[in-house]
Amino acid sequence: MKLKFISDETLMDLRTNYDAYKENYYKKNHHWFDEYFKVEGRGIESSISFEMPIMNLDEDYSVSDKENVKVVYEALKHLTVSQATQERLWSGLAHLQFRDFAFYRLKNELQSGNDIRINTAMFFKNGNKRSLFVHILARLWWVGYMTYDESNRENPYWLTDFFCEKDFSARSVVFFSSNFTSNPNITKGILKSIIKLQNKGISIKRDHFVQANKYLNVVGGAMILDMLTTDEVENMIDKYLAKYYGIEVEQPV
Amino acid sequence: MKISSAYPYPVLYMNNDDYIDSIFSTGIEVAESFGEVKINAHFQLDNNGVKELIQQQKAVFLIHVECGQTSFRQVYESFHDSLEISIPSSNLRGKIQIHSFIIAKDRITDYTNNSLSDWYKGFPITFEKGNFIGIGEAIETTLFEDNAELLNLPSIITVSKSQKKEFMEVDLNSNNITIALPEYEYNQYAGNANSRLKNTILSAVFMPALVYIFSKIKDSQGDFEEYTWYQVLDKIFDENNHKLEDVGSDTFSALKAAQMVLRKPLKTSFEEIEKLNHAEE
Repeated sequence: MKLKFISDETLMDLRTNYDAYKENYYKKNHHWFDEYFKVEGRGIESSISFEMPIMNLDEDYSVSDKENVKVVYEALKHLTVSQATQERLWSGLAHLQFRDFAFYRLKNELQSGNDIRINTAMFFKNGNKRSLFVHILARLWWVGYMTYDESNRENPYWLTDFFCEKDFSARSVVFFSSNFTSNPNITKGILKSIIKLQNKGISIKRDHFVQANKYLNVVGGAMILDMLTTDEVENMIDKYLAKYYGIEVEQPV
Repeated sequence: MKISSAYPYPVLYMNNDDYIDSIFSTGIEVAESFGEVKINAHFQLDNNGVKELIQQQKAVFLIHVECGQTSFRQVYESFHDSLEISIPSSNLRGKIQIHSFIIAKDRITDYTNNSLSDWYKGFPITFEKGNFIGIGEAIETTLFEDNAELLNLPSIITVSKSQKKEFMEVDLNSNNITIALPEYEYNQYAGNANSRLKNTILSAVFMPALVYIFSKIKDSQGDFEEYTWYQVLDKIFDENNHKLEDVGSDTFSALKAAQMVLRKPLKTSFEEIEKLNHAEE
């Protein structure tokens, strides 16, 4: 099938008139949405083909988020990054082809009428970049894109599995709001280093990601980190985190 | 990227006086054409000590390109005084920042330079890999969203089935161009055009057709001007800083024009083939 998106005017209408429409979100009123998008020009079929993925709807989001990162990225891997930054695409999908998923993922928010979260989940309300990691659909694709490791043929999603293990929402925002993680070498270097800590039996918390980013921010002021290989970044982070957390590292003999 | 004005080592930079009688300056030009952003950088370096480092490949000219919105962040290096970069437009959107530097390629110890200011005289200086040796000009540019990006461009070419013919034919004499394919070829095209070899199939059909079309334009421009397909192509070339009427000249061959309109179809085709072969390994 073809990927659907919404026109700029429709996007503005849904955003501006949310208060008038919100009851339909609360009541998961598919009929109302179907009628709304029947109006010519509101929902637009793109030229992009895709196969609708089967979304995981587990009661436990820590299970479903991880699986859904993989199925959404797998189904939409062929989007260009420029396409994947567009609100009218992700907002369109959340209202159209992925509406069931949106209602599932926002179950509690819809019940309690948490308008702020419903808005940030369905639209881009947090600035262009941050929104990519806050919007309930866009973030699945973007975390997939950022953590997909092509060099691991057996399991290109091994970094994704680790990253999505727990604390998915907060981790995504904290980790990818840094400019450095835009560079895949740096992202992989950090993740590999933190995975090593976990393998040593250390329970990974949000702080581990924060510290790695903070450190790169300081070092990045005096050098171009983007010149470094994944291994070099990994080594730097290894040393820094070991020192910061006072972790014993085996000395080479 | 934020540039600091103070570093724990000397930096050749117009905004400080770590060096005397020395210049590092970069001219940066950006142009967008047929789905690619082209960046041309020219480095002007007037400092013998730093020049030597670059000749010895201990240091390198470097262009850093960053697009916050698409999370694009990449460096391009050169040991020569100019650098040509092309990036697919689909990787970028909105504001793009381009910075220029001279960077230590490896660890450099016991660094000295005759033009260093007195302040640095007598200190041992070391550069780590990635440290700044020089900072040049930076520019910011904005790429506007291509509205047609999510949709097919107004279709000016139709592919159709011809019952009797054995060879592909192209008809130019109406508002839309028609590519007529023999029956078997047409069925394959229609059935596989959305497969993993989509671009390969498209270029097998469109590439020769466009070369044919462009080879005809020079001779019959006057006749074609009234047709929609000509006007659309004319507009596409104009928007990409080229002229349709130049196609077919010595400097702008039909073959090149076809590849530009299809945005490097050979490359995308071979990439698909490579992926498919890898997947089957």
